[in-house]
Amino acid sequence: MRSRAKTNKAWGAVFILLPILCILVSLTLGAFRVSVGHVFRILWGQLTGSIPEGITSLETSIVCDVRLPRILGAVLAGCGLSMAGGVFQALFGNPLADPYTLGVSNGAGFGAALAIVLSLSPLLIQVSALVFGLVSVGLTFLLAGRKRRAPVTMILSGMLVSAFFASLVSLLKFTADPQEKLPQIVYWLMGSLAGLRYTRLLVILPGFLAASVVLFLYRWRINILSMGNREAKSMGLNVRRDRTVVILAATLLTALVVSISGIIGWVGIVIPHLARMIVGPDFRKLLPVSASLGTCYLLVIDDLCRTLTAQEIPIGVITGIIGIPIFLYFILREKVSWA
Amino acid sequence: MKLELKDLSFGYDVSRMILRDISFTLDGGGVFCILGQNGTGKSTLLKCIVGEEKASGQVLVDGRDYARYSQRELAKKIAYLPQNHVPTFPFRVLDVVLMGRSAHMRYFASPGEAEERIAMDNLEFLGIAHLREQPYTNISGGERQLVMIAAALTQQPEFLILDEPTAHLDFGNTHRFLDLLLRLNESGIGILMTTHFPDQALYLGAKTLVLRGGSLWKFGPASEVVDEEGMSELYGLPVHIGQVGDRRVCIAGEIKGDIHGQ
Repeated sequence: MRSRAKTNKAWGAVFILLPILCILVSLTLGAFRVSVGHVFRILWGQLTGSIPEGITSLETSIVCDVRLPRILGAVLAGCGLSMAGGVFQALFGNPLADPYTLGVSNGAGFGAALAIVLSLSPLLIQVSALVFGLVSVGLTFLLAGRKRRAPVTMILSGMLVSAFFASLVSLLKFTADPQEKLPQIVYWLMGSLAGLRYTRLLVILPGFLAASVVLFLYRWRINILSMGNREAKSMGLNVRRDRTVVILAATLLTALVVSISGIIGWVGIVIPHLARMIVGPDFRKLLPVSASLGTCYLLVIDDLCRTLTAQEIPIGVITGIIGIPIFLYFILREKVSWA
Repeated sequence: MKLELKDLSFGYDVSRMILRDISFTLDGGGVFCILGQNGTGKSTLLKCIVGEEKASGQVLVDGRDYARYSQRELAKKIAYLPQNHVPTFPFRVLDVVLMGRSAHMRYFASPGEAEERIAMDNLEFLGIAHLREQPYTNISGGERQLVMIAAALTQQPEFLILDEPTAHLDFGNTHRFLDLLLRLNESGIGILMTTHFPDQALYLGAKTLVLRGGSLWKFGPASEVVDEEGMSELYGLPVHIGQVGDRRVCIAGEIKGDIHGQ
């Protein structure tokens, strides 16, 4: 028992340190190389308010104004999508469930496309994406109606709402100005963390933290919910209320992430599976480990997007190209069947 | 614990009622069996009792309407084991058993040492303590059922409701399971179960409810309710009750020669 507690602690430390390491390394990467030592001194200088010697203002600006907000965006996106994905897989008892199961992504896509067509500012594009992402999930809940405890009904309703908004997005694309607006819409839909600013991060931070805290509080109850509705009910859970709260928190998390990053696929499916392979299905461990792995995964992917070619690659493209083979590998190894 | 049903009726649509005007009272910590043909609504009746289906009429738990209890309060009174739980995730056996403790814990708490002790006691009582670290998905169906029983016991309910608990057990495990139910009953837990085997009602010495065509046809001690005439009529084929040593047994089908010996 004692030795297991020790190994648990050691693993805990690994899962905390790994994302920090990824953040530091990511700060050094880019067309303009900044050494790890300099990154440390710049960050220290920012924290203490002192101006470190031997560091140019260009370096400081690149690290703090260009890279850091974008890296924090990747942290929020990777962590949020992975936690939400794990929640949806648990609650729907379905290996193919992901954060977008209830239609958030296409709803948000429509909101963003609409705002782009109306020539709104990046911040308003973000707000519009968030609002329509939540509206689409609201529609999914309405469609599922009183049978919403049945996972299949929810998944089907989500598919319908998703398809409906996808059609609306196509309509907007069709009518959008092909020189200027259309590429912008397409680019948004492929997902990107380029050009993120602190203000846009700050807009989503309170909701993001609140939803994460809710999921953390429910971590043991999510285990019970994943055993099935009848079992959970017999064990004394108010299944309807608990499911609704947890799904809303995971949905909010997803919608907030999508509003800053666009549609980044496959993170929310692949990472929870990977985490489950490592620590098992117990949400008390699965939730933090998913968050940690998701953060690292998306940081690495975003680093590739930024550095692989002279022109930046949309992040949603790379997560698919890398994520799908990984997912296939799990299926072939039969790790996904969970049985 | 007292469980009362008053004029309980249920149907998915009005023209096709599954259960009609069912009233009975189950007192204290007895063993109760529900018999009936396939499709007479045995499982549905259990679902109505535990609130899985919304029936008309009343279900009273200790004199108070079922609907006026919170799910948390009810879990301390009744544990319900549906037929054959199909697991999705490979939780540790011990974690599954610990889940049963949730109704007694603070809302957002995780189980700690005190809960673990209760869970382990129940695993030991059921003779499956060695499975504690096993993934719930990798054990046999019979073991899985025992794990769900352990979770239900960890819930410390007054009444255990089981839907065809022996349906997926082999010949030997079925009998062991019946003995286990008797042991649980001795420790003070009331048992209500559905079964396809009148013989089980006889062996358990259960008060027996017989459903027929969606209504309560007979209700009484198994020794009175499970008789040749009634069972033959219920199942539509010859049923014989015989004596083997000190046990009354019930078997179906034509029998040549004398079985009413001794």
